[in-house]
Amino acid sequence: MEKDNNMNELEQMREQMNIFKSRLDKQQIINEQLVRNSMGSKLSWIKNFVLGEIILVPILLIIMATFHASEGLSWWLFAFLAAGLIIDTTGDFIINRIPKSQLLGGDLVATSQRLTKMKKQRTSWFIAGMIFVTIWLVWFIIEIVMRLDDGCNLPDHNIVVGIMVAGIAIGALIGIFVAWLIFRKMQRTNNQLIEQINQVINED
Amino acid sequence: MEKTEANFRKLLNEHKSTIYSVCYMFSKDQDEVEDLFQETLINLWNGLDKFEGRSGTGTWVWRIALNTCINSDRKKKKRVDTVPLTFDTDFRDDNSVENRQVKLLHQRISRLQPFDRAIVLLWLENMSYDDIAAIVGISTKAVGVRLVRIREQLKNMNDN
Repeated sequence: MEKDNNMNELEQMREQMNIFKSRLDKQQIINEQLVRNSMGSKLSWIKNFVLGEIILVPILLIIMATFHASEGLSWWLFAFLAAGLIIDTTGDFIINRIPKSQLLGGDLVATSQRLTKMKKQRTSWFIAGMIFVTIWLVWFIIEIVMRLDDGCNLPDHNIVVGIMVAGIAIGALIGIFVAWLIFRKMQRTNNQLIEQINQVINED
Repeated sequence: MEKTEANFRKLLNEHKSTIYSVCYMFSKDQDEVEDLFQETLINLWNGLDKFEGRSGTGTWVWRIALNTCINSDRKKKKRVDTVPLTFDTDFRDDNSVENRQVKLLHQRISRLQPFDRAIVLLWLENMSYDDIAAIVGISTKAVGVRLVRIREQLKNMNDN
């Protein structure tokens, strides 16, 4: 009797779904603009972002090289920045090289696992980036302060240095806090999906 | 499959109800349905030339639609370029007997976890356990076990 009740319930749902789909078949649903939008969709924003990085990094390095030369900052600092930017861009390119649209054609578990792995790689890469930025920032502030100390004739020199360092530090702290919030959100998304995948694949 | 506008339109005409029903069952409001629907269409277009035809087009469309809905980032804001769908009835507002049945179906299914929703939707489509297993990526036996649990959950929903 219970089995019959269960089957009746599911059969009822099947009937409801059939009614739903037969009503959908009578609807147009898709219009010309929708089709055009779908075919004209731009590359994913992530791919555009990585392409943007590849274009901007050389420009940024030229600007920083000019700044280093004019301010007499160490070329070791510049080399550290250059290496970090090139490694970061290369990492972003490798992690994101498989478009999402290519991933979605496989079975649900495999697709979710691959997307989750991609998200985790991005998270790890992001953390590594934050560490790099922190080291570079500290080194940069030290060099700027030392540069200002060398033969600086400004009145209230210490106040100027203090304000500059405080400004850079506050900006950096705000940036790090925002980045941490984003990182936490990304981790939550990853964890929810991982939990679901594990529930499904552990049925055997 | 060759990535041509003709092939894409043919695919959409044949499977629009499937795509919409999947997006509907994974959404909570009409905005979300339209977002998921648009995203699915974009993913279908972008993946059209990668589809090798090893499975039928229907199975492939199911995979793309379900993967899009399960893996969609729900916290994203509504896409600015989302196009409203063309309907002459509103399944959420209209209180006809048929619409109440659709809403009840949506209520039951949306209370399941996303992977369970996918399995139920495929079962409601009269797919075999083997086909469901191939789309979800688990064993046929696991599909059977999963469906038994889903039935119990649905029964408990009714009892509560």
